[in-house]
Amino acid sequence: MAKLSDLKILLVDDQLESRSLLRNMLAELGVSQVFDAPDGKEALSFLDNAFDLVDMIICDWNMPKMNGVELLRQLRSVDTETPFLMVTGRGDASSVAEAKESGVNAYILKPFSTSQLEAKIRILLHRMAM
Amino acid sequence: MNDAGVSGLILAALGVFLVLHYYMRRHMRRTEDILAGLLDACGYGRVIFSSDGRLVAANEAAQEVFGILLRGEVKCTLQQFLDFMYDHAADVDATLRHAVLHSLEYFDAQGCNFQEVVKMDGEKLYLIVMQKTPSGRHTILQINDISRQWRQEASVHLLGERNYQLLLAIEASHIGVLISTPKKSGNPISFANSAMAEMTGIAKDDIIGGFWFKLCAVFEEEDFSEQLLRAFHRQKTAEIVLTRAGAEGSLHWYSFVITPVFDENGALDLFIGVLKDTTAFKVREAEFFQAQKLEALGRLSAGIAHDFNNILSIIDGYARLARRNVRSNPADCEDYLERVCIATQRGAALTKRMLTFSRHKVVAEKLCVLGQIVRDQELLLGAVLDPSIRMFVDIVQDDVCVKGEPDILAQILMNLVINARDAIGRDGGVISIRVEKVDASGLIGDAAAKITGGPCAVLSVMDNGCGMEPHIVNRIFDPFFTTKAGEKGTGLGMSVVYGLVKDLGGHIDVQSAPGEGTSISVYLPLAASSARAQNAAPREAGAPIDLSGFTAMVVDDEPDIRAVTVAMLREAGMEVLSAENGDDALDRQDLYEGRIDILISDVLMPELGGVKLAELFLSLRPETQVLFISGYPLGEGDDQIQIPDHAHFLVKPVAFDKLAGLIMRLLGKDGHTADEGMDHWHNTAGGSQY
Repeated sequence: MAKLSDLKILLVDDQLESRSLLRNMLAELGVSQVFDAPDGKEALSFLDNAFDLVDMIICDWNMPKMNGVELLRQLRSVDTETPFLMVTGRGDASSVAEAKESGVNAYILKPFSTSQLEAKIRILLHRMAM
Repeated sequence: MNDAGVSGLILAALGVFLVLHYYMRRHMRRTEDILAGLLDACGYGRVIFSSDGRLVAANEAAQEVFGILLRGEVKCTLQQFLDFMYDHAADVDATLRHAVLHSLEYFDAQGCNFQEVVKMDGEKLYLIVMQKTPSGRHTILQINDISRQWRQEASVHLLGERNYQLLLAIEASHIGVLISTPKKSGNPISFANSAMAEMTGIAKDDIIGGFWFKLCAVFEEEDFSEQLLRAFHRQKTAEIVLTRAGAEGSLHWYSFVITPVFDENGALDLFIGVLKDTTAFKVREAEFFQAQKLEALGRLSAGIAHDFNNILSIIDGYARLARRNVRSNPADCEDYLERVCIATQRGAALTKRMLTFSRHKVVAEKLCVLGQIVRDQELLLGAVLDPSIRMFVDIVQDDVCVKGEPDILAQILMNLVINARDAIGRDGGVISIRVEKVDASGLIGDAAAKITGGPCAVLSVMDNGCGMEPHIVNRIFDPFFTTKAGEKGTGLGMSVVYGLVKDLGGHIDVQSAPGEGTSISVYLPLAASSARAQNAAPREAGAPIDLSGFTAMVVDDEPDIRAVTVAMLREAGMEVLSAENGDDALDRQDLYEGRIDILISDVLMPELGGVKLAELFLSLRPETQVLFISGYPLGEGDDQIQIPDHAHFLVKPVAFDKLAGLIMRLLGKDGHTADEGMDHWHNTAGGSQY
């Protein structure tokens, strides 16, 4: 399994504070290679140009222009492998079902601790390795 | 003039001539005497040769030295004299010769046209200087005894040379040397060798003429200057241990010895400082300690292997019995298998002890009934004894209690009995085991010194075997000492017993004589008897274990251990998820939608260890209880692991009863909450584990 410190992660969130919070959490876990994008469109254009640079995508569900689920759908049409961790404040059954249907690999409910984030990343990495 | 007149004139002239001749001869003799006297009076030997090389005169001093040449009937010539001198010329160092010549005040190098040092009998040395008289008609040789000056000059010369050699030796040395002169103000440094400059990193020229305290900044020790002052003040040899960070960041150790030197009047003259790099010694010392510890560890491991083999032989014996009787006598089989289980637990206790070797201390906190331990062991002991050996057990008092570990007491007993068995040999004999209370004040010698006052507990093992000579008795507790042939003995059993008894605060007494058997008594401090005596505690019995309705996640990288644990829990009715490592466990819990009541995890696993796993697991499922199972007892193994408070811990191998009982308590199944009546595993040595 890849080491956490070797991971390259793309953060997609429209909120600057959310992005910097996640960055700090990831730094705590030893992940230093973090790219970010403020919305789905920029994320897609980043991935278009630098697809190889990203091992994992951590994405907020609620974003203007293009939300997380839409980004995931578009992404999955060209790439079925890159693990996708959805960050969401909605824990209701229908939302979870919708996320799963869209091909999300794991999701994490806001607010979350660094340990929870690490657990989720480890789960995704473990699945990648299998 | 007539003839008579002529002849008278002639006679007169002759008479005058004779008178004149007489006077002239007298005068000449007097001159010679005066010359000879002068020659003798000058203190040097003098020899005078005429221009044609004939000997003219030699004074007494010269004759004393060269008597054979100068006193003979045939007087020697200058050439013969010179030849003799060349034959006796002393082979002397040119610089030394020069020094001697110049030490002689009379010597006039200008007028000298020849000089030679000759060595005559009696190791006497003479300097012979040859000069021509101003008229050139005579050659004068002056002979001077220079033996004394020579010896003086030679010793001075030798001292100078030796000093130079000593200086070279000091310069060549890897030991730093420093000399200071306390008579001068500030005790300035008058000498330092190259090694001193190299070790301190200060140029030699900067040290010499400077002061001691210049060196202080070089070393790590802040009190170096104080220590120096103290050494100067006391005027006694003092050693100061110093350290200095090396170029590569490694620490160097030094020994600085300061020695005062006093002059002949007893006044302080010099201080000599000797600086030695002791780093290599320190490193070797550390390696030596490490090697000693490893050796001791190896010895203990071997001792435990010895005990372990005893246990294996018990297991093997009962397993064979069970196999033979499995159809014909199932009831007995159950008993045999029970004994296999007990022996397995004892083996587990042994490995636990091996792992806790670094502490090498028996936690003497359990109250043990000695008689009960002997009775419990009786059957096991029977299994290691030959049928030709009869064993008698005599429990004199039932309430002989001591503080200790039942397993350790059993190990002591087992070793003593095996020793007795081996002393008896094939012809058979009797082993008696006795437990009693004795009054320690009645003990004599060593035993009395160790166990002070009042009654004490005694466990004795006696045999009627071959016995031992006194010189063997003295050595039986030495590690690796054995009288058993070949591979029969390791020489460790008794040394282990000795260590264990010492740990329990006890004493061993050996009575033995050849042909009369041996009696070994273990004296232990008596503990107040109590109903809480733990070795007699019955196994948990009663209500059947039912854990149905609960779900466990079992994580262990050892497939067999994982499988056994899973099987045990399923047997108790649990739903069980299992994972081969921490990440696998996280993944599986993520896919599992139901509640997971307990996480049972190994501690040491590759990638994600048990402790970190528990942290991540609990962040996702805070309601889950955590139980660690490890091959390493508390506080052992990897020191880096920080164990959380409120974690529970079991040591492998885990007995089903223990595991199930603990899970029931953790999950509140036995009517108690998990925290009631049990300790948490705190990350401190001596914390609780199950």
